[in-house]
Amino acid sequence: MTDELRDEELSRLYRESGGGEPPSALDAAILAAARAAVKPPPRRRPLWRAWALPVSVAATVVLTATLTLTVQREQERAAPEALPPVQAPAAPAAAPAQALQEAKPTRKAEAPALPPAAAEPKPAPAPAVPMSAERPQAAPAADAVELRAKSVAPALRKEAAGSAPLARTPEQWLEEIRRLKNQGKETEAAEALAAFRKAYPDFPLPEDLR
Amino acid sequence: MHEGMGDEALMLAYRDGDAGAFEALYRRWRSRLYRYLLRQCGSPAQADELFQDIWLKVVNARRGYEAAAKFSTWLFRIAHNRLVDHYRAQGRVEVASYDDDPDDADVVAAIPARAQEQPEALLVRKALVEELVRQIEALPAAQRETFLLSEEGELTLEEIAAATGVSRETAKSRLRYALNKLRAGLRELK
Repeated sequence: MTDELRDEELSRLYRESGGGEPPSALDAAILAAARAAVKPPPRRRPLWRAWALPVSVAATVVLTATLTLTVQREQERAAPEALPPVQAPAAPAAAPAQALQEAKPTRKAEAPALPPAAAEPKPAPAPAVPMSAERPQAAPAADAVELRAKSVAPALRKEAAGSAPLARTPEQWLEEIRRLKNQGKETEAAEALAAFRKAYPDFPLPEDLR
Repeated sequence: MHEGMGDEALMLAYRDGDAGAFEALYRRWRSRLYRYLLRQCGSPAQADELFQDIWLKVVNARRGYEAAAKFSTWLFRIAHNRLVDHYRAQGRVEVASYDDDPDDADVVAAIPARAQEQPEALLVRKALVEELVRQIEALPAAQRETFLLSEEGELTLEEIAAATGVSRETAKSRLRYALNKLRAGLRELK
């Protein structure tokens, strides 16, 4: 009790009254609430980790779908481009059909001569050999190509003479026929003239060759 | 561990997360606060409810606690506010009695305090205790509260004034008036 108004007798009497006590269940409830209030909260998973799985799944789905669509589009785009090489020769073949028919034997004749020349240089460079060693090997290879070309050239020229329509103009061809005739090679001149007429049926022949 | 610590140190320790400090503080004050409430509202059920509310307010207000005042003053201020709310919710007249303060309490001086016990009259003493409890319950709420804060809370007049939100003189007047009535009632019994 306050000092100013202290009444020891009254205080003593009051303390003897005792009085009530809070029920033990109430004590337990209050203490539990007090403990819970200062108990560190359970560690929550960070937000980014909680979303990690759904986001990664969604990203995988989007990536897969995008790749699939891209591949499909590329295939669709590549398909029309791949077809023309198969069909393309058909169109130009129709236009100069006649000329090509004449050229066929010439090309056949050229074919066996060219491949060896083109195939020869391939084995020449050796990948494992250093640069300094490569040069001496490469030079003979180039010489071989040149030599072979030289040997092929007369053959080609000879073939070209037989297949005049592709090698010469009609005027040049006629001049050659005229030369054969002047040299007295009547048979060859006649054959050449027949070939010329076949190749150029509408070309007007000069008076001396009719 | 918490035995030698003062109330304020215990409350600060609890604020900083020491649940054991709260338990020590609770054990120290539970009976006094409960009796204060029980004598004020008269019903154990209501006292239980108020008691729990007040301690939960202490728990929830821990972060704002500063050791500027005594813990007991802080605790009984919370109890006082809760009790006033309770009276208002009940529509009881005790709220009005807080404004009904007598100016003059000089009659206290005229009532002599009991100098010594009467050892031969144990039965009479028991009857006196029972009468005292009845007299306390019969006091106006403001005077009863002031008396109980003085007895149960061991608060000074300044602390009672701080806990109940009145001036020191008002608290002094209430206490003097309460003592006057209690002595008068006991004297009649004798």
